[in-house]
Amino acid sequence: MDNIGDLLHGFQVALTGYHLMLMVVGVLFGILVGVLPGLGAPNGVTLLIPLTFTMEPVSAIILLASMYWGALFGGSTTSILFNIPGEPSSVATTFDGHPMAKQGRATEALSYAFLSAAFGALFGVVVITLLAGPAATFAHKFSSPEYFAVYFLAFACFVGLGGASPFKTLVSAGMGFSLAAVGMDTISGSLRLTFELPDLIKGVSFLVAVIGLFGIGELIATMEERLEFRGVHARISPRDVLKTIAALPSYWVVLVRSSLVGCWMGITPGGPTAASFMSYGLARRFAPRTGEFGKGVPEGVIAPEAADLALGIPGSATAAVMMGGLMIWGLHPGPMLFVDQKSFVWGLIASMYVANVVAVVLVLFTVPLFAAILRIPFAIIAPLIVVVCFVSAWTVSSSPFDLWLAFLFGLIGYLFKKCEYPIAPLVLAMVIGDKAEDAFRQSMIIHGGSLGAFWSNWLCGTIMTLGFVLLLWPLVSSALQRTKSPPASAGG
Amino acid sequence: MEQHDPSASRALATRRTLEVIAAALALAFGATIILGALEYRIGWGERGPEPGYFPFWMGMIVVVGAIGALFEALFARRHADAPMAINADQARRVALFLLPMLGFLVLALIFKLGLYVAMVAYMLTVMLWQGRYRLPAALAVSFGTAAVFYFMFELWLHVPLMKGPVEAWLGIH
Repeated sequence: MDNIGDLLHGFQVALTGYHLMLMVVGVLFGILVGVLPGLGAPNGVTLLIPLTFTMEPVSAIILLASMYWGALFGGSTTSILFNIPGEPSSVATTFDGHPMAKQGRATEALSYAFLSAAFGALFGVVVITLLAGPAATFAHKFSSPEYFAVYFLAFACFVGLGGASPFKTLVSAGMGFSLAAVGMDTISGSLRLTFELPDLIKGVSFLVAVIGLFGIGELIATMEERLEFRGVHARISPRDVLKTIAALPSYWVVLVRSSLVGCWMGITPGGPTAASFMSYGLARRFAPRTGEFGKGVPEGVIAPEAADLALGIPGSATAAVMMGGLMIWGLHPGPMLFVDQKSFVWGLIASMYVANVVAVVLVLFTVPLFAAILRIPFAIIAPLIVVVCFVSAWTVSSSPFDLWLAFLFGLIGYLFKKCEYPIAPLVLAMVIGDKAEDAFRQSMIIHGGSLGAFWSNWLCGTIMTLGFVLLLWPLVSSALQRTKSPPASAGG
Repeated sequence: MEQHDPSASRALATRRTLEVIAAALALAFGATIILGALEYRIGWGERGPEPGYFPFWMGMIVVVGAIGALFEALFARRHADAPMAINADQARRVALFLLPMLGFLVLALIFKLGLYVAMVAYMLTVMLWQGRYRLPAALAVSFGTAAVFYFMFELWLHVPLMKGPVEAWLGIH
């Protein structure tokens, strides 16, 4: 394995004072853009790229990669504290993270989030180190049917028989898919569901929906019950962080499984958002305490976070911007980088290890600081969150219409909450709906409208079959349980 | 199970009413999607589903789900004796929270005063009216918020937020 030798050389590149400083700056900047919903990693990279023109390519990519990680950490912070996912991929973290914060366990939730994210990231880096070459060629095998299969699998993992009424789950998922279809249809070029409204041509942004559904909807519900954030009087001590560190190893099954999901979704370009949902769904399904999910269990924070960061291959938008950066620095992205630019590639990989450690230390030190935000009186923090929500909705595409949409989604979110409609299927459907439909129709075009397309090769067929198994799993397992102990579950 | 909190204020809507409203809204949404989808071909052509296919069936799913939820709300025993969903007190608090928020949007978007002016006005209103803070504190926090947003977005991140005549008059771009 000359990989090890290359890696050691990489560490020599990464462990210079200048590069360490860049990592600190990158992570801090990343936390900032991550904390602000609407501004995400892609924006952060775009903003930083001009600064990197004069740098060495290695230094530049280290700065950008650290920023990316900081953004993902920052995104989890607002998910947990305010139920506002700062990054799309941290939506799943809100499901249990926010309830934990409300119970006064904010420090614990944040520590779990950061630590498991770091675990996932390190896991991913190890995988990259071992599989750097083969992984890239594997990703190239992916075409439309495989993409569809992966989205299908992600959805199947997540949508099981939750506590909610199945009709309500249908409404929620159907609404999400419908909203995803609004705007330009990329296959036929026709404008769908725009109802002659010019504002709808660009579609309904998933981010605006999330800002409304989670941020504003949550605030309305909190206002109604006159609950202040219950974290307010919780003691925030560094000791909680240490206790969490000590408790983490007992969740090793969740950690490893989620990291594997994250790596898998990183190699198959499913992206971190789908990965985090899928991992959360799996954790809920295979947990001994399924019923407690959504009310604040550590597993519910660990699972999406570990998957989110595993295989730190930035999501498509960020990757696209970074690719642009590579070209500007005079490098050509692709497998040839491993041959032509050895020190660049291995410097980057080594810096992923180091940046990870830097990021975790930084965020763990700042956990008490973040958690202290909850001590601000509600009469100040509530309007402040409203302002942040509206400003974020504006930054999505500088469109006034988006602000009204965010407000409307806030009302919908509140009504959903009151009537116990599940919000998560809607969000997931909005995230993957458009891409899934495109992938489906492209596969149909390639294969002449035959559904056999999805079982035309072993890779795609396996993923599809697995998806169906997972979709039907709750039915099967409950049927099995009923045959085993007939009198136990009477009624429902 | 059927105990009602005697101290609670007048019920405004029962759980059942709220469920029916939600289901009706979902039904309307689904119907709208179906109507929108019918502007295109909704069949399965030689090259797979046509543009209207997915929206049409997604709309159908929403409609089916909504009808199911409606029946559940009306006939299932699930919510028959559920406590009221919202009382007058809660409704008032929600309205008091939503009203300034609506004011924010009207000020910013309809009067086109921009986000900064609207955010200062909004923060001031909420802090003085609902938080019962003193004027100096409210002024400091609301203007401070606007200043922080300005420095962060305009100067540092170069993401311009919506501005109106007040900024132009002050010469801030």
